[in-house]
This record gives sequence, C-alpha cells and structure tokens, in this order.
Amino acid sequence: MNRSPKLALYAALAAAFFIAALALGRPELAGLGAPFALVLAIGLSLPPPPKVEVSLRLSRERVLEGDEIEAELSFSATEPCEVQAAFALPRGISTVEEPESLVLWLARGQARTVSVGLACERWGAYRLGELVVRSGDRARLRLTDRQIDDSASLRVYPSRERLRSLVSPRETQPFAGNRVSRAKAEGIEFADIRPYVPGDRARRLNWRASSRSQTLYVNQQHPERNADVILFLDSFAEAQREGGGTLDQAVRAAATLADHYLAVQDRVGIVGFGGIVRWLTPASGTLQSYRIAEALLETEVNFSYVWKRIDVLPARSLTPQALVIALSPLLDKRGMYALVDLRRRGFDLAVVDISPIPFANSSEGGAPDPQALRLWRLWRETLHLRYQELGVAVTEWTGGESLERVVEEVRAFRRFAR
Amino acid sequence: MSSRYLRLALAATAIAVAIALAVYPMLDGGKLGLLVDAMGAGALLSLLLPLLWRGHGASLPLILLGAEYIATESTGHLAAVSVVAYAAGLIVLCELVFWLAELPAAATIDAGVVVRRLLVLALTGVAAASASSVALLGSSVRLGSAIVALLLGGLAASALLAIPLLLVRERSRR
Repeated sequence: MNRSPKLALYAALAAAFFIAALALGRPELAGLGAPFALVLAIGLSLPPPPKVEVSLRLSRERVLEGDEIEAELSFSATEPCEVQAAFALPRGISTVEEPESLVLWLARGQARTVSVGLACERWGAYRLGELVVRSGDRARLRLTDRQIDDSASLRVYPSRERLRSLVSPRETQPFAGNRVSRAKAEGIEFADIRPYVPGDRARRLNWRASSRSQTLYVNQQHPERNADVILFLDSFAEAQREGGGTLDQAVRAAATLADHYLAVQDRVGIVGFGGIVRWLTPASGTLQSYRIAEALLETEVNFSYVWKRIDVLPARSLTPQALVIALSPLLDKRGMYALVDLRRRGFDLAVVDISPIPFANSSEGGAPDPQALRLWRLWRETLHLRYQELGVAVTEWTGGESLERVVEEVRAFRRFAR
Repeated sequence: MSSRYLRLALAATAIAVAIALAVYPMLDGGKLGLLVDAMGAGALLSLLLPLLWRGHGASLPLILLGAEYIATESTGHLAAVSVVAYAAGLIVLCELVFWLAELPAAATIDAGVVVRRLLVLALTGVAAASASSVALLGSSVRLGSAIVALLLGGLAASALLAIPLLLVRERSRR
C-alpha cells in the first residue's frame, strides 16, 4: 500500500496553517488548516483500499497476423472502490480502439467484465495479462498498485502470401509426391522410348515406334516424386525499425514457402542459423505444417560472438539433394560463409536477400548518408555476384514487394543457369 | 467516456480556481505586496507543471498558494467570509490537481466514476467551508472561565493529535 502524495501535502498544509495561526496570532489561518485536518481525519478513519481480483480470458488463443481478438477482463473487489487498470501489452499487440487504460467503479462483491479489442500486429508467442491495477480508499489518501500476472498465452502465426509457382528442386527424393522426377521409372509423364527387353510389360509397348522400326520399343516415364526443401533462416543479425524488420519478413516468407511446398507433398525442414541454432528435420503433411508454424514463432535474433559453421547442424537436418532456400539479410559474415559452405558441399541453394537497406538509419537516427548507402549497395551487389559465380540464385527482396516476384526471379535465374 | 475531455475540463477548472485563489490575496498584499505577488505568480506558473507533465510537482502550486495567503494574513486582515471561501477553494483545487495527476493520459472512464468524483468534490468543498466556519466561530467565542478555555483547547489539541496517531496506526498496519 502506498500513500498518495495528497496525504503528505494535506498534513503539511494543515500543520503549516496551524503553526502560522499560533505564531502570528491569526485564528483565520486555523480556519484554513481545519478543512485539511478534517479530510485527513476522515480519510484515515475509512477502511484501507480493498483487494481487487482480476482475471483475463481471450476469445481465441491461436490467430494469424492481422487478426483481432477480444480480451475479457473480469474485476471484483471486496469493498466498493474506484479502479484504474493499465494493460502492459507486448510489442506486436495493441488495443483496437480503446486506450490501454481503464477507470471503473466496482461495487461490493459484484464482478465487472470489460471487453477490450486487441489487434495482433506481429507474429510471435505472447503471454498476455500483465496488468497494473490501482485501487484506493474512498478519500484517495492511500493507494495500492498491484501488478497482476494472470497470463493467458496467445500465439500469433505469421501471415501467408499466395504464390502461383515455386522454385523447383533440381533433385527429387525416392518418395512419392507431385513432382516429375528427372529419373526414368514407372510414372505418368512420358520420358522416352527404349528397345524392349524380356520382362517388360506388354502394356508399355509403343506400337507406333515399334511398327515404324520393325523392333519392339517400350515407353519410359518420369516417376512422380517429392523433394526435400530446407528453409534456412539466418538469424545472426537483423535490421529493424518501428513496425518491422528483416527477421519479420524472413519468418513470413518462410511460413508462406513452407505452406506451399507442403501442399505439393514435399518434405519441408527448417534451420534457424544464428546465435541459437534450431532445426526441424524435413517431413511432410499437416502435422509438419503445425510444427513449422510453432518453430517459426520461436525464431529470434540472439546476440552471440561465437563463430558457427554448418558443421554444428546434425546431418539429418540437411538431407542430401535437398533444395536449400536461404532467407538472409546478408549482414553477418557467419551467415554469409555458411551459405558458401552449403554450396561447396553440393547443396542446391537459392538465396533470398532480405534487403536491410529500407531499414537503414544514420548514427544520429536520420536519413543515411547517400554516399555511404551507395557504397553499401555496391558491396551488396558484389556479394550477389560472388554467390552467382558459385551457381547460387540470389535475389533481393524489399518488404514492399510480393514474394511472388522473388520466386519468379529465382526460377528465371535457375532456368538460365541450367 | 474518454479521459482527454475530462482532463481538459479539469485543467480549465483548476486554472480558473487557481487564478481566483492567487489574485485575491494580491489585492491586499500590504507591506509584503511584492512577495505576495511573486508567490501568486509563481503558484500560477507552477500549476502548469502538473497540467503539462502528467501530475509531476502537483504540490508546489498548492504550497505556494498557502504561503501566499499566510504572507497576506501576516500583514493585514482579510474578511472572515473570505477565509471560508478561500479554504473551500484551496481544498477543491487540491482535489482537482490530484485527480488530474491520477488520471491516465488516454483511458476509458466510467461515467459513474466521474459522477461520484464530482459529488465527493462538492461534498469536500461544503465540508471544508463548514470546518473553516466552525474553526473561525470557535476562535471568536468569548469564554468566561479559564478552565473551560483550557478544556476546550485541550480537546482541540487532542483532536489534532489524532491525525498523527492515525498515520502511525496506518504505518503499523502496513
């Protein structure tokens, strides 16, 4: 329980007026001090501030970025009192229309429920319900501030974009899927013809070719296989400003790509390569979609000086012949070298450079120096060229554009590189 | 109800009351006129501090107003009716300034809370005027006997001492 500054001031004023009345021999001054003494006497005789109970309930616990939910706050108190409640909302969650503070009157033993609309602006796993509740006695001479942690968990999943095409992996895996493999075996897509050998099924005979060359030929097909796709998130460093950053974009892109690859039966895995290394081994299906969504929520930049190489990753997290799509702002050398290392180990690699340039600030916080910005751009272009020399498709993505454009650019490069 | 309009209304009322309280003693500053004027002006200027800086330094203008009145009263006699009005005005100003200091910058406020607060404010003003009148009446009573005067004085002193006792009791409760 805290004393209000009012209590000290009233006591000081009452004492000052009474002492002045005595010292100066002016009873009028006692007349000024009397009201303050009266308020103090009455206020301190009243019961102390009551205990206020608060509980929080959310209308939904799992939402997508941009969704709005209702938070129901229930207040109750043992004695009637005025209550001030202030939400301490984490970054990424805000109130829709209402301000983050409430002032309400609680009657004795009567619960009061208040609905607050919350906007989920950024993906993440949040614990909501941190409230500061202030109640006071009737005269507001004694106040009680309580921090209430009746937390409710809220998971905001990153929003997804719609993609019409995906970057096709160069190699497929031996499992059945929706991709036409380059290998020849049982399948639907016609690949070639070859001379008949004993054991071939009669239904595979190509009668037109056989009649033209007077020897038997059989059709060969491309089998339908799936592919492994590893989404490689470089989380060593990020560039950010109020309202977003490169990591936000990377996570949104990863969620979009994972959903689309899983929809075509591919196996998708995640590698979070940064201060803390996280991975999710490739798998397919709806369950993997949920696993990826949960894993992405844990992604954050953890500051570290430790030099890390690809060797720290377990072999099963980077399956052979997988397509690795790296989402990186290319800010940290450890991340850049890791990508070179991956390529040199023979992985089919595509890099989406999530440009940190839109988030650039000068050291004073203003617009960056144009000369410095130009040099930085040149350096990044050189870096792109070096990756391209290694056969890696690199494309720059600024947050304002659609991911579709980036995917198309990577596809075009890979077509040309072949 | 939004707290913004309420804050504006409270601030406007507080400024009006503070101007009245600061200017009245200036009219009869006596020998200490310059000091009274300076304190009145200081009180008005310092009132801007809690109004603009979310309740910080709320006590300063109120202390200056009190000091201004004491300085005026030390040199000249103000009318007894004015003391009653001044006492009620000063306590209402205190309540307004502290209400303003407590009020969040942006909040949704129950209309019931505002009505209750206004009622308490009015009641405090009336109670302050009554307490002030009683104190003034008490001081003007002519007592025939010194023993009765001693008894009444003792009673008043013990009533005043009850306040520190209440404060001590609060501390021990905590």
